Amino acid sequence: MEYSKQQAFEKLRPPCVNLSSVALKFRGQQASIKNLLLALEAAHAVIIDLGRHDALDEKLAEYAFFPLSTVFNESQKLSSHCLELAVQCLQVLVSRGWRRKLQPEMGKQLLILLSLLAGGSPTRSKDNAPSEELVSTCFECMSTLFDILGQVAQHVFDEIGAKTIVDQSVYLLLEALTGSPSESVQLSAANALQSLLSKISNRILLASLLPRTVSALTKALTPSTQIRRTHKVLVALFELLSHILTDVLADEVALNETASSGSGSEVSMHRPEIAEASLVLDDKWLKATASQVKLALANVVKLHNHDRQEVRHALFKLCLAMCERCLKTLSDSLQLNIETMVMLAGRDGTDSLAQGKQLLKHLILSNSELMDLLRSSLDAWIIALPRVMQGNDDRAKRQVLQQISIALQIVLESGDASDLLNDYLASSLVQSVSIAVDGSQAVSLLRVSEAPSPTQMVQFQEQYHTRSFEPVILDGKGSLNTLVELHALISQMRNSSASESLTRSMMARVGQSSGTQQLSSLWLCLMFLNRDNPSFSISDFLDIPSESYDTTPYLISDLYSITLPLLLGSTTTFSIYDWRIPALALESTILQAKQLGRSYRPELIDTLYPILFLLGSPEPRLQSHAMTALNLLALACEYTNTSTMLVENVDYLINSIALKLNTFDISPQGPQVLLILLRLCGARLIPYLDDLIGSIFAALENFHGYPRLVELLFDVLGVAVDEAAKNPALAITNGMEEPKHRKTAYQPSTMEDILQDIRAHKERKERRDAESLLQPGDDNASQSAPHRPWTSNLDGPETSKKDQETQEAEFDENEEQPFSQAAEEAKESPLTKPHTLLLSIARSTIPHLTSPSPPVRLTLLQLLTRITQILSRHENSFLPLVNDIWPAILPRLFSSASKSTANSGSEQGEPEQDPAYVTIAAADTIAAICVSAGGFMSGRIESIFPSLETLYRRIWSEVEQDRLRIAQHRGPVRRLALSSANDAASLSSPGANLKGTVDLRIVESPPPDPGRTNAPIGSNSNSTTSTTHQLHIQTLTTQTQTSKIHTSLLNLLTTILLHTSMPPISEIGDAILALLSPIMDEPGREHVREALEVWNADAVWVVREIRAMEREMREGRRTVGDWTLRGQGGAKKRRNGG
Amino acid sequence: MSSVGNLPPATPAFILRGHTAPVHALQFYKQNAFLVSGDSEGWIVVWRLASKRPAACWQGHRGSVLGIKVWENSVITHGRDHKLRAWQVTEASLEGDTLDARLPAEEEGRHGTEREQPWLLHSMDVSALNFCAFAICIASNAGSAEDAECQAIIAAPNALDSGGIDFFHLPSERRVSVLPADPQVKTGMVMALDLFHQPETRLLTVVSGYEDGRTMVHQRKPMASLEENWKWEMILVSRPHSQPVLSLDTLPSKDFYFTSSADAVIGKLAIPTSNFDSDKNIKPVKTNNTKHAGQQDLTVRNDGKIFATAGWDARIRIYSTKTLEELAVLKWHQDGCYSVAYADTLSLGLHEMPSEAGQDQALLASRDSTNSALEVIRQQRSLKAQMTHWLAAGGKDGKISLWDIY
Repeated sequence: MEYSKQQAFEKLRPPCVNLSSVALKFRGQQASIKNLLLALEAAHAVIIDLGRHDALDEKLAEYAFFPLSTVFNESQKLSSHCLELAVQCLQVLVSRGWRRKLQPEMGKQLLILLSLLAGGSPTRSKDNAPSEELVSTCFECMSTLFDILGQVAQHVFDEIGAKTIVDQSVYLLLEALTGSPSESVQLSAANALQSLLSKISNRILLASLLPRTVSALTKALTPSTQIRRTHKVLVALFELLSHILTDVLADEVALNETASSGSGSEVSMHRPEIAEASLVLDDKWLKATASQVKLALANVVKLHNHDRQEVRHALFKLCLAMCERCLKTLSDSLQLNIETMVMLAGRDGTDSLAQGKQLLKHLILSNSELMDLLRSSLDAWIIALPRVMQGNDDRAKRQVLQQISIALQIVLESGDASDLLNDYLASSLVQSVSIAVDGSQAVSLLRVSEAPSPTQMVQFQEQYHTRSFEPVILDGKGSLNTLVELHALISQMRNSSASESLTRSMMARVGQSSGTQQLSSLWLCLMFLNRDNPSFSISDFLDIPSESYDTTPYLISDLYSITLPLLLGSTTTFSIYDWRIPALALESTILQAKQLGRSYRPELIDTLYPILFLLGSPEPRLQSHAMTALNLLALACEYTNTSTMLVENVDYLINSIALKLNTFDISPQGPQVLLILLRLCGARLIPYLDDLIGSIFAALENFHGYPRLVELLFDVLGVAVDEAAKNPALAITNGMEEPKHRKTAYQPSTMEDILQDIRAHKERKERRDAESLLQPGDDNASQSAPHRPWTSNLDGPETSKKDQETQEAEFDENEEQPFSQAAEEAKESPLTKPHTLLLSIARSTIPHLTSPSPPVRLTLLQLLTRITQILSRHENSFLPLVNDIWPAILPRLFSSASKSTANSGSEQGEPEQDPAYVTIAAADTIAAICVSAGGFMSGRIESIFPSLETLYRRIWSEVEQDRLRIAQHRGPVRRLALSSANDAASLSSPGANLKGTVDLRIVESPPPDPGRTNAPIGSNSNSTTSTTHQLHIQTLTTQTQTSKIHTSLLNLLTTILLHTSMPPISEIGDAILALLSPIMDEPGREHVREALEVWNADAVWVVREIRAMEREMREGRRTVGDWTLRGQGGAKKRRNGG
Repeated sequence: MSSVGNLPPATPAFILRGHTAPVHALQFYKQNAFLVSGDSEGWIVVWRLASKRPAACWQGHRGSVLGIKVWENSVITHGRDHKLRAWQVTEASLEGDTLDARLPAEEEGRHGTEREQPWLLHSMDVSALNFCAFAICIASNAGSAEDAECQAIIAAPNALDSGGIDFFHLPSERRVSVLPADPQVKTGMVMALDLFHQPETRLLTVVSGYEDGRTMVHQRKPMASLEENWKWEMILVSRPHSQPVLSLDTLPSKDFYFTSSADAVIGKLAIPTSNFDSDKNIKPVKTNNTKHAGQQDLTVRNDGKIFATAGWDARIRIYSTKTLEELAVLKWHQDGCYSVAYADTLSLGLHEMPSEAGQDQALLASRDSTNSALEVIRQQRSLKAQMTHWLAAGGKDGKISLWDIY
């Protein structure tokens, strides 16, 4: 609601009257402070209310002021709170009541009053100091008064003199600003000062106030621990400082002055000569002031890394104002200002300072002087950069990088960055990075790097899909921020016109330097050239034939030509190099490949091998780098995938590997690369391998003393064999068939068989007749090898096979000249390359079978096992091979037995005893040869059989001992399990529970302690086999070495029986039966019995019968009269009879 | 070997694998962009040197390839099947991958009769009994009228008179002359030939090496008319070798030639230019008993500074043409080497070697866009391959070793 004047007066009067009377009483000490306070509060409320409703005028103000004046008169005795209320009332009266009608004299007096109230009188005691609230209220009131006075009586502010009201107010306010701990006081003082200063139009007066003001403000703005100032205060202070400085020292003011003074018109513009009354604002003064201001600013700008953005912003505005308006007067401090602004602009690009950056840029670009300053700052920063990077202060590092980045941006925008600057920058960057690298080296050294085994490398597959490189350097966590800044700096620079000369300058350093420097410059070059997502520029859209065309392709190819030797060199000097150099060289290669695309493909001649080579690096990071490079390379060269790339360039790789091997470079990577290749490319590779295999053999010959290398080389050969085996259609067979030497069980011919045989015979004859009619000249059909199973191939019956086999066996009897049909061989097409290759691989193993390293021997034997299966398809070449390798394999089998028993002819320089696994492998190899060569082996088997038998017996006895020992250790139940396991198969005959011990004695094993074994067996005689126990025995036997040997010997013996055309009646066969009969009925050995039965079922039956008989005899069930069919002779007789 | 000093043994830059039979002839083609090789089973392979891969491959003869020469856009091969064939092998067809490039090594068992061959321009019956490869002289436009553009004279041993030489003319495929063997001297078979125009007199000159180690130079007498029969004058006879001459090659200046033989000697002979001695029996200018018998092939590099020989001892030897001193021994092949060829040392004045000149090229290309910058880089690369001083050697093992040496 609005008050009329009357109403206002009505409202105002009672409290004023009351206040007046109370105040008077108070003076007469008839009223207490409390009474006065109450009255004051009432009046305060009314005045405030009226003031709010704008119902006051000068009359009412006068009226209301009267009681207040009495109150103020008693100010010495009143509390701060009372005075505060009074001052508040006064403020309302001034601003709302008197307004423009305020008498200047009145105003002055009020100011004095307020100063006294706020400042306190010197007489006042310390504890009676005015409260903060009072002081700030006073200051607010003063501020109001300044405003009003400025409107009504400007002259008040222009009076010059040491004791003027202005001077005193300024003094008071500055005191409060610096001295008061309270934020409100500081703020209100700053406000008041601001409004006061803005009212002063006399520059000389201002200038006289300047020193004190600036020094006080500087003091206030200097960060100190005693008084903490809030950001609001700081912002206000900055504004004040900016205000007074620009008011006094702004160029236009100074220049106007010179113009108006007339006397200075002929003087240079920079030195305005001002001569006026009290203070002479001449150039001397200006100089002195400027240097003082510079000092002050130097202190102030320390706030540039204040936490609050507002503060920084205010500082930025101050500096900006200085640069804009005090360009000439404060030229000394320009550098400082610019640097501060650059720092501030760099600090955060996202907030309002982003636009500050633009302001700065425009400012500097528009003024060449500023530009020169900026450039010199930039130089200084660049030079300082390495030093800063050396330090530990991450913040400082970031700071300097940001500064450089922003300054550089502006300098580059100006379009005249000098080459010298670029060179500086390049060298500084390189140094900085190398310092950072050296720093992080300590960290990276701590990392435990695990060298991967070659087998891991072989597992290399498509699962690696990394499409980008891991950072090679500066990957430590600590340097992350620095790295980000460095990236930002680089990305900024590489889009600029200077990037080319920068890159060139750094590239030069790659070639000249070494070590960390080289690494750093290489890294920087890559950073500059690698644009994953090129930021599009406006020229892309406008298609302007710009002068600054893109030189990146040249730069990249130059860098590539520099780094290529590094990459190639890494394959020879592996350990010397810092792994990061080849890693970066890889990146450079990829960069080039990406650029050239498909047309990079010929370059793969040189680069593919080193990359694969680096896959075998002991440094895992380099390894993964190489892997990534491989993938990226495939991508860049437009191959569908990595292995396609490898396969299509296999010729290059082979070439490189072969050259390496040829120069007797025995680092294992060459063969390892080959291994990877073989796995990847398979049999396709084999035709290319021929001279490589030759080189491997040469290497084997030269370095046979290095078992690791030999093993690796044979691994390679083994893989070659494997791959050849996997893809026989391509490599070897060409229609050759695997020979089938396996014996089939004898089946008595039925009438049907005979008929079929006759029918087949007839058919065959008819067909041959027809063929000869058709092609009388071609007699190929009839000339084909007699043992070739073409009958079974077509429709020949099963029975004919047996005939064929016996025929074959007879044919193979005269093994001394397996090439009796030399003519036939000549007719046959020459062997394919892969085939001859495999043959020579097999032959080359012979001298190495006596290698001192057991693993090598093992590898060789396994290799032979695999190779025989493949090569057996071509008998004419295979059988001579068997003849060659046979003497070399035998010692491996028998060396563990004793040297005297083995064929001593073949062994010279016999290595130490073969470990069990070699013996096992030898047995397996011989078995494989028997499978492949069939009847060809029978003569050889015959010659070695005695040794074999001895060996088997020895092993078997060991196995038995083991079994018994185990049985004894396990107590009664286990022992029973043993015996029953032995008899598991013969349980068909009832009541044979106790056969176990008997069986053991038959094979002449050392008899177990009867007292210990018999008792438990007897006690548990009626328990039968339990499968769990059987399994137990099985696992136990497979665990020991001897039992493993035993197993493979068993396998060998059965193979001999099955595959070497063993006639049903033969010494060896009988011997084998004797050897095997103890275990042929064991569970899990069904194949043994099967084999025996295939060979001669009757003999098996006889042996079993005899055993049963002996057992029964021991038990007394049979009489001695039945001893007619004893031994093998009996078995024969019996069979002959049947 | 002594001159090599302590350098590590040289290694080939690349091995071209693919022939399954001994490589008997090698020839660079199209300014070193390609290498043509022929093996003893008649297979001819054109290798692209930039990628070291075959660009074309076909079985050109039913027998061993004795010699390969190139002429314009054609590759001329001479086989033991008594055929001389000129195949049209253009750069376009090689680059365009229109020709079958499967190598004999990849063709197991099958013999590529059905595969596509390059266009056969000429096929002539030429004797190949002597194992003597033909010689070709691209007819220059100098002198007589019949020597017009795109004509070639081919020299090959005579079919009946094994010491005589036949001369054929291409493209007419007609035998233009026969140089019969000297009945007084028993030279034996012709073993090696070279044919060229004497640079000064422009007279057709044929250099021949014989079974008995003799070598001769004949020059065609100037003719009055076209119809006249060619008349030959012997201007040199020498016998530097005790064994059959295996190969000979002439300096580009055509004033000296070198012979290698089944014995260990290498001979250097001067070709007389004028006022021939009445005694034509001239001693070689220089001989070098290398102590390495059987240098099957001899090739002079086209700058005339060095020549290389392929030896039965599986080594390539490089000699100085001036002193006949052995400069290098290259060992890679396991079996004997049968052929050796030098890439032309090109003098491409326009193109500097692309090395530190990046800046200049950048300026040169500054008007062009990025694409052409890439183009320039690509050209530089292929140029670099062509500029390499390749030495190719083929051996009994069917492999061709490429050496970048001198």
